[in-house]
Amino acid sequence: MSRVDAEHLWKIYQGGIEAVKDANFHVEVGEFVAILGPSGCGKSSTLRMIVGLEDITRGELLFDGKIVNHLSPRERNVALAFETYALYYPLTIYENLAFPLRAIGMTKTEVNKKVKEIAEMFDLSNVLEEKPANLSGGEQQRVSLARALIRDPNVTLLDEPLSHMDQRVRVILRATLRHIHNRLKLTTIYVTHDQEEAISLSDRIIVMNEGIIQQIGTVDELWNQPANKFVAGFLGEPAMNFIAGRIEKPLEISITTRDGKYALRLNTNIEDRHIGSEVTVGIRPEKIIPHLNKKDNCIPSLLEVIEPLGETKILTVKLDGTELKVVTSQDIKIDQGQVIWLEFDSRDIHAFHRETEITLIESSRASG
Amino acid sequence: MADVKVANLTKRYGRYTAVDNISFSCNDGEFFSILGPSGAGKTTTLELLAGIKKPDSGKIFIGNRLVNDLPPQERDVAMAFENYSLYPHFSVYENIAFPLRAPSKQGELSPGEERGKVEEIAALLGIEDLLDRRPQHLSGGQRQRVSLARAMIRVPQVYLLDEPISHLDAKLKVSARTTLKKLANKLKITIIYVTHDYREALGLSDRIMILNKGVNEQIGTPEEVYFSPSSDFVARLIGDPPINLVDGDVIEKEGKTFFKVQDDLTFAIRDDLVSSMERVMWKEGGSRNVRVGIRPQHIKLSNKMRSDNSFHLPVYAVEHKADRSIVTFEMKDNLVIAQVEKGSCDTSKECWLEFDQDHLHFFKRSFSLSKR
Repeated sequence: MSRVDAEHLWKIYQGGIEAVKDANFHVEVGEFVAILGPSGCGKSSTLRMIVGLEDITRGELLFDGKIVNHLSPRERNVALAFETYALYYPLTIYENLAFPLRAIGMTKTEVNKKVKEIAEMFDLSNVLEEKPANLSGGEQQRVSLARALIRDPNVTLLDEPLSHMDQRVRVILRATLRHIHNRLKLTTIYVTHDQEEAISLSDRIIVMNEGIIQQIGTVDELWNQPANKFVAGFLGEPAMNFIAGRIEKPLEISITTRDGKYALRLNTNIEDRHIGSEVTVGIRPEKIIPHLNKKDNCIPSLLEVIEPLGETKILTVKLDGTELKVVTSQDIKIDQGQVIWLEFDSRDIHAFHRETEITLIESSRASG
Repeated sequence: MADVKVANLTKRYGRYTAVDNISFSCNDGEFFSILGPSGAGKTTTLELLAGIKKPDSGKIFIGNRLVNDLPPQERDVAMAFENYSLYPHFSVYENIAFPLRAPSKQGELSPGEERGKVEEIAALLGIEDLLDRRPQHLSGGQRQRVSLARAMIRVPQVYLLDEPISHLDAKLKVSARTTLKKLANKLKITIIYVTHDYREALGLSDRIMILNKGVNEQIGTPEEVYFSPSSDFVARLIGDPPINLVDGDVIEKEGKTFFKVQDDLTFAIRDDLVSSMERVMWKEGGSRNVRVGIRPQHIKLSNKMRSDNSFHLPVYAVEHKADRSIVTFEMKDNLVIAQVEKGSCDTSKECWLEFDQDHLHFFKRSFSLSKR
C-alpha cells in the first residue's frame, strides 16, 4: 500500500481546456479520501491521471515518494472499480475474482485462499459458482468491488461505484465498503458527485469545482468551516440558504426585507475592515427555527410549500424575492400560505464575501 | 378539471400481468402519486389512463365519463414523460406553445394571448429567460422543465406525469419538487404522478398509491403510508436509511409476551401492542412468528445495558455525517441500521440496542429477507 502525493498536477486537453488546475493533495497510507464535485469539475480527470489512463500535462504524481508519471497503470499497481461492473459474463464469480490473481502468476492454492477470503468479506461465498447474469445489481457491484480489492493494490480507486444502485442497496453497500476498509486499510480514493456518499464514507474529502480544488478537509471541517460559498452550498441537502446581508458591527449582521431591518447577532468576531461590507449570509435549513407567532429578532416570511418527508418536513418560505428552505420536525402544525417567523441560531450563521464568495464568518460549532 | 376513477383495472402482456385488478379514485384538484419500484406497473397504469394502451378489463372514468373506448386525443389529458421528447428544431417558446397551436385549437388565441400564457407558465417554472433558446442548448434539468411547461400550458381534465424530474441531480430535484408543488397548489389541478422516489411521492402528494407487481398495496396520505405502512413492502419502500425488518418467534413466559430472534436477542413486547402483533402473526414448524419493523431513527443506542429489553450486537460499520451517525450492526445474516445523534454512543466500545416500542411495526411476511 502506498501514500499518494499530487504536486501541482495539471490536465490540459487538446484545444487548451484546463480540466485540472494545479491540484495539490496527499492521501495517507490506509486513508479513505473522496474527490467530490459536480460533473465537469475535474474529479474524473484527476482519477484517470492517478490510474495512468490519462497523461499528466504538468506536475508530479508520487507513490511513496517515487514519481510514477511515466509508469503504466499495471506498473503503478492500482485497482479500479467503476459504476458499470465490467465483469466477465461467461465466467463464474469465482473465476471473475481469481482473474487478477492468476494474471500476476499466483499459485492455485493461494488463489483459492484469497478468493474465499474476499468472498467471505463481501458476502459472496454462496454465489461463487454462479454466473454474473444470475446476480442482482447490488451483488454484481460487490463482485466488482471485491475483484478490485483482491490483489493488494498500492492504491484503490473507486469511480462512482454506487451511483446507480437503488437506495436500500446503496446504504448497505456503503456500510460494507466502510467495514471492509476498516479491516483491510487500503489506500482508497473514491470519486463521486454525491455529497452524502462522500460524507458517509470518507476520512477526508477533496472538494473540486471548475478544475480547482476548493477545500480539503474532514466532514466536520467542510461542514462547519467551509472555505467558500461553493463548498458551503455543495454539502448538505437541502442546501444551505443564502441571503443578502450587511455587516453592521463586530457582532452583528443585518438583513433588510420589505418589512424592516433585522439584526442577527453573531458568535464570532469579525475583523474591523469588514464592517460595513455587503455579504451573503449562509444558514443551513436544519438551523432555522420556525415560530408561529411574532418573536423578537425573528424574520417574518411567507410559508409557500410544505413537503412532508416522514420524520421531517421541508418548508419553503419566501423572504421578499428570496426562497429559503427550513427543515423541521414532522409534528409542527402549520399551513401553506401563513406567515411564520424565522429564528437564526447565532452559532450557525455563516457569511461570505459578496463578490469573492470567500468565507468571512464560519459556524462557531466546535468541530468533532 | 376533473376527477379520475379506476375500477378493477387489469392489463396483461401475454402471461405477465402488469396491472392486476387495481381500483382507486383521484379527486378533482388532487395530487395523486403512484409509487413503486421498477416493474411495479406504474407506467402501464398511466398509459392505460392516457389511452395509449387498452386494458384487458376494468373501467376508467375521467370526470364521470367512461373513457375506455376513447382515443388519447379525446380523453383531454396532458402527459409529460421522463425523456423530454422536445422538438429540437423549435425554440423553447415554440415547444411550449405547441399544444396551443394544435389544429383543433386554431385561431382560439391571439399571438399576444399565446405569448402571455407561455410567459406565465415559463415564469412559474423559472425558465422565462430561456424562451429563445433551442433545446440542445439547455441542461437536462432545464429540458425537463420545458417538457413540464409544455404539458402544463393548456388546462386538460387531468395531468399525467411520468417521472418528470427523475433525471435532475439531487440539488435541482429539491427545487423542482417545490416548483411543482407550488404550481399544483396555485392552479388546483388534478395530477396523477408516477415515481419510484419516495421523497417525491411524500413531498408532493395529497395521497399515494403504492404498487407492487401490479397490485395495489396501500393508498394513503404521506403520513399514513410513512407511519402506518400496511405491509413490509410499503415500509421498506419508504424512508432512508431503510426500515429494519427482523423475523422472530413470539413466545410467552410468566404471563408476558416476548419477541425472540435468538437467545441473546429477546425483548418483551409491551402489553398494549400484543393484540396488534397477534393479528399478523403466522405459525411455522410449531412456533409462532412475526416480522418486526423499526426505523433506524427509533433504535436507541447506549454503552450500558439500560433495561431488560436491551441487547448487544457487534458493530459492523459506522458512518459519521455532519450531525448524526449511522451505525450498522451484524445480526445473524442480516444488518441492523441505527441512526443516532453524533456522539451519543461510543461505537468503539460495546453497544447496546433498544427498539423504541412507541415506533414498532408488525407485519406478515410477504417476501423473504434475503442476505442483504
